[in-house]
Amino acid sequence: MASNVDAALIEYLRLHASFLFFLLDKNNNIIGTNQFTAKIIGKDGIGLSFENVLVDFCHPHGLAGFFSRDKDAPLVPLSVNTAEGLPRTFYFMFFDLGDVRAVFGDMDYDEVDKLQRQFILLNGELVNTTRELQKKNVELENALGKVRTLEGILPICSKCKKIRIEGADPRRQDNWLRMEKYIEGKTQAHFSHGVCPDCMDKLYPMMHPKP
Amino acid sequence: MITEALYQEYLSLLLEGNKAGCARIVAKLIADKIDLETLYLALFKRSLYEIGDMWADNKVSVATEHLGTAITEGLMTQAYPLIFRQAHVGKKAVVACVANEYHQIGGKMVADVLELCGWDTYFLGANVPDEGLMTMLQDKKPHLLCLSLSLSTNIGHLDQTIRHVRGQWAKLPIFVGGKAFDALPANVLDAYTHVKLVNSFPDLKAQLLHFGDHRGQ
Ligand code: B12
Repeated sequence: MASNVDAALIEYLRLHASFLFFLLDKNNNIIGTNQFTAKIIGKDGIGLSFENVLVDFCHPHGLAGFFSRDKDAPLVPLSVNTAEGLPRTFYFMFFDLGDVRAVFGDMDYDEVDKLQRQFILLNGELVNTTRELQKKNVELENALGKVRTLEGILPICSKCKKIRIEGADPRRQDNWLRMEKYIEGKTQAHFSHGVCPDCMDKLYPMMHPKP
Repeated sequence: MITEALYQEYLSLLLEGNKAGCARIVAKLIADKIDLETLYLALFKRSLYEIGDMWADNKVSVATEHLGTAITEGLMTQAYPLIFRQAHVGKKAVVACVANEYHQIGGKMVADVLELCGWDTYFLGANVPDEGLMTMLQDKKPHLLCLSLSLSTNIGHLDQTIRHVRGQWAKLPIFVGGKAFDALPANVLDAYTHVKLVNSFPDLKAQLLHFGDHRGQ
């Protein structure tokens, strides 16, 4: 009875459970894996060195120091190369079983859950920022459109300073506008009229006699 | 424009997490000049509600639901170049979800519809603490505040927010809407002044037409 239960349990774990399992020989070459491992790394891995499954594994003593005969071996976070191409971190336990070695890797479900929540919040912030940026972008484009209306070369009468409407017939007087009118038509600016001191002298010499 | 077959195709792509496929459908609809409300309601809202029901019926995982939501929010940005080009009518609105309310898509859609109506909107997003909201109101001096509520259990937070706002702005018009009100009594907002339950886009637009120029100081 008990062995039937064990067999069923092992069969279930081998086929359906979501943890990594590697059976290694004494040289740390893979001699067995479970279904989940094959799905994550994209192959059964048999014959590969276990270190090759890991991303950038680098330790002065290799894997040797990790193996333990203790049931409560320490958890070691290591990342594996996945079939999707993105590294994924699992928390590993290394067991020395005499002739062979067993390595188990599990996800930290609290961490996954935390990441999921953070991901939702960050995504929300990101898309809201995108919305703001789009809004600002249109405002800037509109502002730029207004500035651009006064770019380029303006044809101006050298005597009376009237400006000719772009592309209009220069021989027709009504195609020449007073500078104020032209600028007011093209920009948000308005003019308020006054008289400068030089002109004041010329126009009203009696009102401002020169010392 | 959105046939049943097209909707079903979009929904399966969304459930698969196929963002590029969904984006193609949305881009085509925009190129064919779909109006924003139809895009939002008949594609985005319908599919999100359906995924929500599937999740509640244990037909999809919570991860699939999250992915579908994240993709939808990304797709909404595809429509923004249309929204922000409207002529402005000189009115401002602040749109927010109250504290502990993490459902922000409905509120964002409301902000976008207001933009389409020529309003300047400030969308503050999910879970906005009252202090943040008050600072924004102080700063922007809007003509209207819109609050979105999806969870009926957040009604206490809504109550608190309205009371805070009323402490400083006695007459600022507040429109409230969202899925929570499907499950709340119709008179739940009767106790407040200048607070209206406005739950659909046509209703919202009708309200905007009669909108005065007061800022409810
Ligand atoms: C996506 C989603 C989430 C995402 C939200 C991410 C995001 N960025 O927004 C996340 C993962 C955060 C989430 C979390 C939860 N969710 Co949820 N979620 C949904 C889902 C699937 C879609 C929501 C959505 O975007 N709908 C689309 C928008 C466009 O619709 P809408 O919000 O109703 O808005 C429309 C109108 O209501 C109106 N409107 C909305 N606001 C306003 C405001 C104004 C002023 C106006 C005029 C109109 C208006 O305009 C929109 C257009 O018509 C719904 C399913 C559903 N049926 O809605 C569940 C759902 C809302 N969630 C639900 C639940 C239970 C939860 C959780 C409690 C689950 C949990 N145990 O963790 C948490 C609560 C988190 C929190 N504290 O807020 C339940 C709520 C049941 C209830 N009524 O109480 C729902 C209905 C799922 C279900 N079938 O049971 N969820």
